[in-house]
Amino acid sequence: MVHKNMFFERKVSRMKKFLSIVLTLIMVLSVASLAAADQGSEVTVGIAGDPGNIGPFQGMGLGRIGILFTTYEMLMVKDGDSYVGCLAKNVTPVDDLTYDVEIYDYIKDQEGNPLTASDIKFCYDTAQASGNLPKLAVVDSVEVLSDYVCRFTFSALSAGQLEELLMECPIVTQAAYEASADQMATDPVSTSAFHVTSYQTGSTIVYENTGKYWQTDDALVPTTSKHNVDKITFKIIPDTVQMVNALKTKEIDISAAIDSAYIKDFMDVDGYSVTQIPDNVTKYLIFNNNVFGDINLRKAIAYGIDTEDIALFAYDGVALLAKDIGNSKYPDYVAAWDEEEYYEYDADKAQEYLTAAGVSNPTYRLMYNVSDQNTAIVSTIQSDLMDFGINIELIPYDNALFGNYKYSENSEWDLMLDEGGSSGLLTNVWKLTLDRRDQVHGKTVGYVVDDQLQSLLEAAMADNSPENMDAFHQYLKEQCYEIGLVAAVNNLAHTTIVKAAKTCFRGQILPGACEY
Amino acid sequence: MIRYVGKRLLWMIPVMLGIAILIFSIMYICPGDPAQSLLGPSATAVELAAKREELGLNDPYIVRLGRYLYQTFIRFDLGTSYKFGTSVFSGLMERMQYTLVIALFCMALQVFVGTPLGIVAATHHNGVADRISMFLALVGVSIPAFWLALMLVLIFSVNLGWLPTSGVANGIASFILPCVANSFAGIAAQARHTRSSMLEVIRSDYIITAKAKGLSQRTVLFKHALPNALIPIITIVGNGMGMMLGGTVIIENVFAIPGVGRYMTDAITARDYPVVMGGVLVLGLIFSLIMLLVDIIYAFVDPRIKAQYEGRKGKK
Repeated sequence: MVHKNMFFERKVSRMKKFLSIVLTLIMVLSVASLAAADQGSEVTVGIAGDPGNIGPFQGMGLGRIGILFTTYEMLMVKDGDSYVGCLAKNVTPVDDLTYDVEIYDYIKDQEGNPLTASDIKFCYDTAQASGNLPKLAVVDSVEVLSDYVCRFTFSALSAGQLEELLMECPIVTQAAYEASADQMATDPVSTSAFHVTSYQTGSTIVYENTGKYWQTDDALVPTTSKHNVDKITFKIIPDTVQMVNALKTKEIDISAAIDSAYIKDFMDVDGYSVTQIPDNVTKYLIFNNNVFGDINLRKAIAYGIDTEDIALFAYDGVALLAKDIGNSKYPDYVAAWDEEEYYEYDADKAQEYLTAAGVSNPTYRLMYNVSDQNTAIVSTIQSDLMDFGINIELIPYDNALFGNYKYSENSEWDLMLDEGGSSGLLTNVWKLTLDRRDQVHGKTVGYVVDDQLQSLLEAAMADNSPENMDAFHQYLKEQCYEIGLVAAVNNLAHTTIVKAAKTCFRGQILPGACEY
Repeated sequence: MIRYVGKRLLWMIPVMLGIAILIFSIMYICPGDPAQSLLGPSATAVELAAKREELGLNDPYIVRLGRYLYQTFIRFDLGTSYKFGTSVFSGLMERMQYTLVIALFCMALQVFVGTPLGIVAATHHNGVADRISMFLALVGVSIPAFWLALMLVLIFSVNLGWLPTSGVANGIASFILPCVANSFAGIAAQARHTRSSMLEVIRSDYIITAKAKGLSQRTVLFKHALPNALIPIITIVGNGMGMMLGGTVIIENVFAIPGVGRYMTDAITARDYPVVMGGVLVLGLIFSLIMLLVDIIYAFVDPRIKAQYEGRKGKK
């Protein structure tokens, strides 16, 4: 009996030991898995465009902006609302047009080549010579002062432009660039944490975390350079419906190119999350001053368009009504504008202005860059204005042709639906269509010659203080040369693999920065 | 025969020259500015002018045409893509594999499904099989490829989860839906042409004689009728191959297949002239070679045509 009890106790004791070991192992594994929870192993991102050439000095396009920050680093980057140094450690002003840029002295590219000031000069010189990055035209020279300091001299600088210029040019080492057989078109070697391991043109681009990122101090790594995942696959899917299907079948994990019409397919659906981020692009209407010389006529049109209808029909209600030709994503946007009146739909006023203009049953040509959304917008405008006896003839053009006619000296249009966005400031958006100095014909894109408008714009560009910004905004609103319509929202849908999605200032996914 | 092939190959030189001049002229008069497409809306007039100069777009028509013809036919260089900055020839070759895979698979489906359908329809003229075959052919001709593609994706990818929705990463599985969607109209056309061609032949005296001799239906059909009905069928196959090469444009866009069609449509949108011109030239060359191949096959199928080819040699 005693023997039996002792045997039983031994068995129980062994069992306890075994159980305690198992439980300890489970705890250790759980803690380890929790610690590793933020580090994803693989993510597939759906993008709509093919970069075609991943080389550092190519022009910006739909495909390129999707992969830019995964592929390259720049001297500075925009992190949230502010600019921070990425490769640049310090930027010191010498005078208004001269700046010394010091880079970290321990930067190495993926091949182990050290990055020095001469590489910075090489990159800016090569990018300028390529002619593909027109913003760099104001860089007069880049001079090497020491191993890690170079001096930038500019021909002109407006407020906030310095940071944009330091963010414009991807940086690589001259040694790696010259060693590349195809100028890094398919196999770039950069300072990024991710290296391209395969590029199937028009289909997929695969990046892997090198595990030897140069910046070891996490506090100095900007969001654009984060590397929370081991492998990133960009899948190129140009068709909108197919992008939705790919996400539904989980062939991709995340996409920022989900059309407003389909985003509801992922809202409140198990296994998916949706994030909607205001886009930096605003849609606006430009009046051709040769036709709309009468301010009453411009205002009649402005009050006759219901932007809420546009938001509803073109964006399924998910869009912000514009109060300027830019939107609140820009740091120099004045928040008070959101509270003021801005051509809200008013049938009485529209009729009143139309009567004052003395026109009846006019027909105007509305030119636009053809896309599903733009077609919905112009159809809404056409329908709204029909109520006032204003006939709108729709003139759709493809991108290249639209660009041609938009800037042509002969007006091919009476009204133009356009859009504008910038990586930097609101003044850059204004500049796109309203700075006479940039146009061949010496007028704004809407063929306006207004000295006060020009001087207010130049003042805001030189110093984007709230006073200067407001002065220009109020004048433009009063004159009604152009009116803001809606600002779209970026629809970002992802599977639950991605716990928190991160995007750059252009609304593109930063797969390295997402939380997994 | 060799002389005939050689002569046809020589004839391809002026044909290719004609294609080159035609496509160059079309692109020349086509409105749209490649510099604007490349540099985007933020480029100033000066920058645009500099880019146009760099691309040689400011030169007169004749200078640009001469430069293009010299580059293409003397230096055998299709140029560099404005948009991608890469060689057009290598870009086309890289993408040609996908286009050819789709075109060849579609062709195979067209021949091996469409031809038997047509034979069945002809041999059961006005019967149930004929009506079913022709109904299917009518449906096939009427359905637009892009719509069928999306329906197939909804059924086989989204609902059943059997096949990928898009891309080429899943090997042969990636090509099943694109090929089925792209070949549907071809199968239908092939079936209709085979039917009419076979109907014409099986009413001939020699077929009635063969039947009267007591030959089996199978022997009559495959030994006597089909070889004589092949000429129009081969013509359809040859033309179909050309149409398949061109028709992949829509399918490549829907299924995100990085083939020549998508390369060219993207290039047209961006006014990337070298890619458009290079693509048309290469597709034109392939089509010409297919047509040559069709003519050679005629000779093997029909001894009368072979005799004609050889007769020409004898006369000279």
